[in-house]
Amino acid sequence: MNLNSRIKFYFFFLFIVFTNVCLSQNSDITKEQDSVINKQSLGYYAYEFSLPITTGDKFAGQGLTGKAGFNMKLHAFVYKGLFVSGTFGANYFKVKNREVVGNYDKTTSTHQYLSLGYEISPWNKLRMGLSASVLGASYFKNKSGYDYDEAIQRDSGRIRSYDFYVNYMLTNELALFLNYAYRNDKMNIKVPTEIQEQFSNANFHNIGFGIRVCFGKKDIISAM
Amino acid sequence: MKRYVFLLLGLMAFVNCKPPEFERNTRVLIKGKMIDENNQPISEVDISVYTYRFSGYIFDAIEDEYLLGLGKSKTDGSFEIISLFDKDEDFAIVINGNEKYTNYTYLSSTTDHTPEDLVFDLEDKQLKSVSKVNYSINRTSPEGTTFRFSFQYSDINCIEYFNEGVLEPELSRCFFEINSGSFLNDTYPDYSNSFLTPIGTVVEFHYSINDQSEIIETFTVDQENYEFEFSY
Repeated sequence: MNLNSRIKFYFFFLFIVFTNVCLSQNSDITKEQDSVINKQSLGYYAYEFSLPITTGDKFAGQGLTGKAGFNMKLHAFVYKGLFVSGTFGANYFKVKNREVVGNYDKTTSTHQYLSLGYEISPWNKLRMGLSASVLGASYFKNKSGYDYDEAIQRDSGRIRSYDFYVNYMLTNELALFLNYAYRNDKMNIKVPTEIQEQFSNANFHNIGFGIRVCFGKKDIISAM
Repeated sequence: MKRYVFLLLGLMAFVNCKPPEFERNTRVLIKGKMIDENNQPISEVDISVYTYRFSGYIFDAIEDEYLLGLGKSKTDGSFEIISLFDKDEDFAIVINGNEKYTNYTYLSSTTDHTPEDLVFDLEDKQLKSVSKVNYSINRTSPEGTTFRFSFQYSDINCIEYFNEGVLEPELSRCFFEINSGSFLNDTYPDYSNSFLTPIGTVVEFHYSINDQSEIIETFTVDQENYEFEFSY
């Protein structure tokens, strides 16, 4: 079982555990109407600053170093903890080994994707969630030189992101959160057979923190 | 109508301000092996991949050189360079012998031709050892004597042009003959300089004193640093 399969396995295992915990917990929600923080909202906007950390033996892990990143998320609860999330963001990398990636100095990777996930609330002010991307793309803009000798080359890929987050609710509307994402983008780069494996995927961890602003009081289905 | 023409010209003038973009989602592999004239591997030789693009404004566009990939040969002389790719009439793979060995350039138009397997295989590439010839010419004759001289020797560059992977000898130039010299008189009676040529080259030294008939002497460059002194 390779790294990717293992991550998927653990991710879906946790997902099932979360789902079970949540289903048993949600039956008690009505008993906790007097709690300070609302358990349910329609969704939230989130703004996140992140640090991408490249990993693995592929071109990103061997040739790039993460510098910074950001994400904007729109998150909507479909039914109870089940949510759909849309993410748009960017990560910035600098090249640490040009012999691995080709001659360029830095990379700006933008991404947009839709995720499906589940969120639980183990304690009154705490939310935890897991999600996996189902649709999306990433675009790598590689730059070399400065000013007069600047040049650009672009790569693209299909995004594969597995996210885990913890939120701390400050009020009913505002929360602070920590997010961990494992990115394993499937790249579209055409390369000779000898180096195909090296350019097949781009792997990196993404550790982020930010705020989320909640809206609504019921999930989509309950609100209908 | 005039306004639109000027607007169009203005827009065209700025079109080239955008930085050039190379082939999307593509990497090529440059591979081969460096050997010397005795078939021994050469390590630490610089290999660079270049493309050329016009930049600047429409009326003062200049051709700029862009580095797409770079690397060095290993201990066993082999090299594998991962490079960006560009469709260009002068796609060049440059092997720089760093004045120790001869230089080699693989030149090809990639505008209409990209290798199917995305590999540029240079196979075994033989570089010749290079000698630095330091020469010094001094005047011992009386004032008013003039001296005209030139050296004829082989250059250290080899440029091979390939069309769709096939060598085009007519468009290639390897170790072509160079002729360089000077004229010495009372203002500049002495002269010293140097040039690079492959070891083993037979250099022709042409000279003429006071514009009399030309004399040709030859010498074979047989060491890394060759000293040549001449008095007239």
